[in-house]
Order: sequence, then C-alpha cells, then structure tokens
Amino acid sequence: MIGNVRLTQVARRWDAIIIGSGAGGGVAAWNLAHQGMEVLVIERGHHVPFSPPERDHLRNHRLTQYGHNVGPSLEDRRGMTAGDDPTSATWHSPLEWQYNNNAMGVGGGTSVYGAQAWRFKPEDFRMASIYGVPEGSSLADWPISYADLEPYYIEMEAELGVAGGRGGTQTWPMPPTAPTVKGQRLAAAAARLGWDTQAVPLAVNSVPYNGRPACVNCQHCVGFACPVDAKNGSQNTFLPRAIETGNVTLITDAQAVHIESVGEKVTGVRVVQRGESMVIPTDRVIVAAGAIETARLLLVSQIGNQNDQVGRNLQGHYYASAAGITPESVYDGVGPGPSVATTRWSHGNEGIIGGGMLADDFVLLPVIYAKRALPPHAPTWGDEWKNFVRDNYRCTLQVMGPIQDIPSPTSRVLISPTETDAAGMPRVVLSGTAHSESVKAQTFLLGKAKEWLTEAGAEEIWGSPSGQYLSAGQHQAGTCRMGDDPRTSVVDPGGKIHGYANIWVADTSVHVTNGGFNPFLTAMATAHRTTSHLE
Amino acid sequence: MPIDAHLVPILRAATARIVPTDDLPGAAELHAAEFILGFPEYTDAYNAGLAKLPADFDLSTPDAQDSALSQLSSIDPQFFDLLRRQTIEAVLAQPSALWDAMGFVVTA
Repeated sequence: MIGNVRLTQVARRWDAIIIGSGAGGGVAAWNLAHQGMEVLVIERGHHVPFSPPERDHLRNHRLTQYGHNVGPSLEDRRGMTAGDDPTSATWHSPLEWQYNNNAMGVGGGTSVYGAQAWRFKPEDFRMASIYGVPEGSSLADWPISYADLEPYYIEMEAELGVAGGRGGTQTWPMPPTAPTVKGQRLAAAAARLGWDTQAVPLAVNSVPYNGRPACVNCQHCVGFACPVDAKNGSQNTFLPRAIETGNVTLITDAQAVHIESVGEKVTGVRVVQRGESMVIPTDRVIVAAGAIETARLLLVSQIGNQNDQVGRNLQGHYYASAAGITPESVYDGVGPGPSVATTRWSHGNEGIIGGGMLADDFVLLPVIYAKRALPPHAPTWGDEWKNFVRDNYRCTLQVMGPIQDIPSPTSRVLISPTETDAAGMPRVVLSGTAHSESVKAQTFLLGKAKEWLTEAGAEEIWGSPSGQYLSAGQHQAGTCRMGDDPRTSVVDPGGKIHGYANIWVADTSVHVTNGGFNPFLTAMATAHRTTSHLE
Repeated sequence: MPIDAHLVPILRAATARIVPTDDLPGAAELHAAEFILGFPEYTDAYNAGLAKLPADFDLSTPDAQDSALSQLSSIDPQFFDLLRRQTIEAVLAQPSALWDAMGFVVTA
C-alpha cells in the first residue's frame, strides 16, 4: 500500500510501528516484514517523484535558498539557544542553518542524498580507548566493534546496491562510477604524495542493478532525486521490498506526536494526519525519525530519559573544505562527481583526535559555484565578476570531507515548554556548540586538503576553519547513544531503550561517535543489526 | 505590496550593472528584476535600499552607475548584498548561454 492512506484505515493493532521511513526505518520495515510482522510505517513527509519535472537550483536540499524539494514545511520552526534554557531560544525556519534541516519525505534524506556509502573504520568505534576523553567531551567507545557490524555492512551494501572499487581488502557489489578528470588528476597527485586513494563508494548504480538502470552521469545528483532512478535509497529498495511482502503499510503526511506507555511497555503511538488525531495500538515501536526528531519524540513522550541522556551528544560533521584554481580546465561535467578519496588522515594524526576522509566534490551547480566556491578575493559583481565565473568554473578543483566530531553532552536537543507546531507537538530547541577538538581536527584536515590541491597543480588555494557552531544538519547523530550503562546512554547494544521492553531506536541517534564519514550506511547497518532478530 | 513603480527602472538598471550584458546575456536578458519583484518579503528592503541610489540612476552612464553602486555598497552593505545576491541567483539559476560559456552542460 503506497500513498493516500488515511488514519482511519490503519486504526488497528500492529505488531510493530516504525516512525520514519529514511535510512533506518526502511531497513527496519524490510526486516520486520520478512519476519512476518504486520508493520505500520509512519512518515511525516510525502512521496518524492524520482523524475522531477524541473530542477530548481534555488530550492533543493543542496541549496535551500528559498525552499526545498523535500520537506519539512517552511512553516516549521526550531529554536536555538546557547545554554540549557529553551525559553531563551531564537527561532529559525528550515531555510536557515540553525534549523539543522534534514530532508523529510518517503525515504527520508536518501531520496536526495549524495549517497556516499562509507563504512566507519574499526578505530571509529574505539575513540575513547585510542585517544582518551578530552575535557568537556563525552567521547566514548561504542559498545560494539567494527567486527560486530561488518556482516551487516556487507548485507546492506548488497541489498542497497553500492558501487565501490579499490580500497584495502573491501569489495563492493558494483564497480566504481565513472572516473572524472578531476578525480584522475587528484589520484595522480595523491600517488606522488604517497597517499592511498580509492574510488568513492556510492549507492548509485554504476551498472544496472536489482532491476533498475545504471547512472546516466547527470549533473544534478546530490540535493535532487535521480532522473532515471539509479540512486539507491530507502524509497526504491528497502521500503518497496518490505511493502511487496504484503505485511507493511506506509502512511504518509502523518506525524507521530506521542508514544503511549504503561510502565516499561509502550502501547501505542498518537498520530496526527491533516488535523485528525488518533492513538494506534502496537506491540512494538521502532523510532527512526532522525537524530533530532527521534530525541524530540522521546522527550515529549518521557520515554528513555530516566537519566537525562535523551537528546545529548548531538553531533553532525564539521567539514574541511578547500578549493583551488588550476591553470587549465579540469571539468568534464561527468556526474555524480566524487570519484577519488583518501582515508589516509582518518586516524593516527599527531596531536589530533581522529581526523577525516577527503574526497573530490559533486558537480557544482553554477549558482552554488558563485555562492560557495569563489576565492576570497574574486570580484563580486560587474564585468569582472562575469568574466571571472566564465573563465574559472571549469578550473575549480575542490576537496572536502567530514571530520569526526568530538561529542559534547551540552550539545543537545531540548523541547520548548511553550511553543508547539501545527500538530500540537512541542517544538525543538537546539543547544550547545562544537567541541574545540573538532575545530582543531578540521583545521588539520584543511591543511591536508590544501596540500593535495597544491600537488594537483592548483595555483590559488583557499579554505578556512569555520569557527565554533553547533554541528548537526544532514549528518545529525548521537542523541540516543548506544551503551551498556543506562546512566550514560539511552539504548542498549541491541538498540533497545534502557528500561523498556518493546521500543528500539534504529537511526543515527544511536551513534556513539559519527565517524569521519557520511553516516547513512552505518545507520543502515546498525538498524539492520537491531531489527534482524527482534523479539 | 510591490516595489514602488518609480524605483523599478532603477532596479532594472542596477541589476544590469551587477551582471552586465556583453557577448553573453546579463541580468537584463535573464530578467533579474522580474525575479526580484517575485519576492514580496523583500519589498521594504528594496524600497528603502533603491531610494539610496540617485533619482536619475537609470539615466546615468554605466560608469556613473558603477560608482553609485560602489557607494551604495559602503553606505548600505546589507542591502547591496541582497541586491547582488538575488541578481546573481536570477542569472545563474536558469539555463542560458552563460551556463554554456562556463561549461555547465546538462546531459540528462
């Protein structure tokens, strides 16, 4: 059943209700459906057509200047405050960075993401053991290891469809996507520097896979739905396969506003759809609404917060991003774009906690180029500006990558005691800022990005650290961290909320640390591990 | 509320200097002023900001217009940045010969 499902049609008892249809929720639905459970998936957004009639360069999830192609509604608001008092918040729309937006629709962010399908490294699960715990941080080891998660990564890569290539001992279901002129130039430069590189693993079909076609190398990948449905996300893999079993119903434009519980058992979910409100009974709840919305729902429902842990350790990714201008054109317009990466600087960096991956970027839309990729001293208007963008677009080489954020307990999701949204649910207030070690690692990785660009022949090179701000956004994670000790975590190593019998979290909320990588594949692997043998 | 009618020619002239026309289309051909007129939420900002340009701005020489815009950028940098930003958005967010000249070709 897809779309147009009304609340009254799902008013029955379910074996499980899954809240959110993104990276984690899709995998959960697929698992539970195959275990024979009757499952309801609740999605706040709606279906995103894979072949959009137009691509608005000013309204998409890469550049949300005036709107976006996937929710949330522009009427929504989130607060931001420095301390612990949500009543002192300033309010921000989904178009402002302070909102920390993530795509909201069937498939969550996976319908419009860049689809970089990285596994975290073994060291990423043991950060506290390797580096110690810096002052003011809540850095901790995961209660599970890379080895625990590896089989789930492998199954997710095959089921989703990931194109990879060379990279240590790992192999991927599909060969890498097309190499680009930029990628080849950077790979050669890295070889001269003695840095190992690999193709960027992407959940994009480099060859026809699972009944859908190969990528056509267009220029609109990240931020947009794929024009030929060759980008693999929850919406075209796990969700439809779950629904095909006949055991799953997906209700869209429906918001879970409260989880009902009695003692240690959850009993139902209150859902609001187009002004109608109803409690739908269930034997199990899987929360997979994204790190901010999952924490919000648990805080509102007063579930799992016995030790004041829900919503803490909010983290996303600081990015190191540098660019330079090459003497000749390096542009071939071959999408998606990211074709070479190095994980040489992910760990083992003197004086730095962690580090990060570096890769080349997606094909830049002209307006994004003009906004974000001009050198600091470029002309800003007039004939000189016009000549500059005309002459330099093809000669711009960018290298960027997420660094491993160092979590802080004071970076957190709160709920407003006074402000509610259209569905009557208390609004989110975000609080805190990045840990200073994250800024330090960003500065370090920025230096490596510049070194790479210099070796690749870029002449004018720029990029600067971003200062301290709350890092969450599309890679938001950490707000219901996984751990053995209920005093310092929200879910147990199996993803079940401490102290509860029948509620699990299956999204990036459970990440103890968020890797120096795009996190969705880890969210899928963790959700897979949590839901493949649910009681 | 639309932008004051007497300021619209000034808006057209200003955008045409932010992204001038040469062998490639500029703000005029790519209808930057119409794009800007489509954002009622910025009407007040444009009414106040454009009024800071000389009343005969649209009739001045390109050089005089450029120096008036430079002056505007120092007396009201916030408004000038809005004008500049939206003009560039209008020019670069749609397919045109400028995309072709930059090398950005949409293949699918």
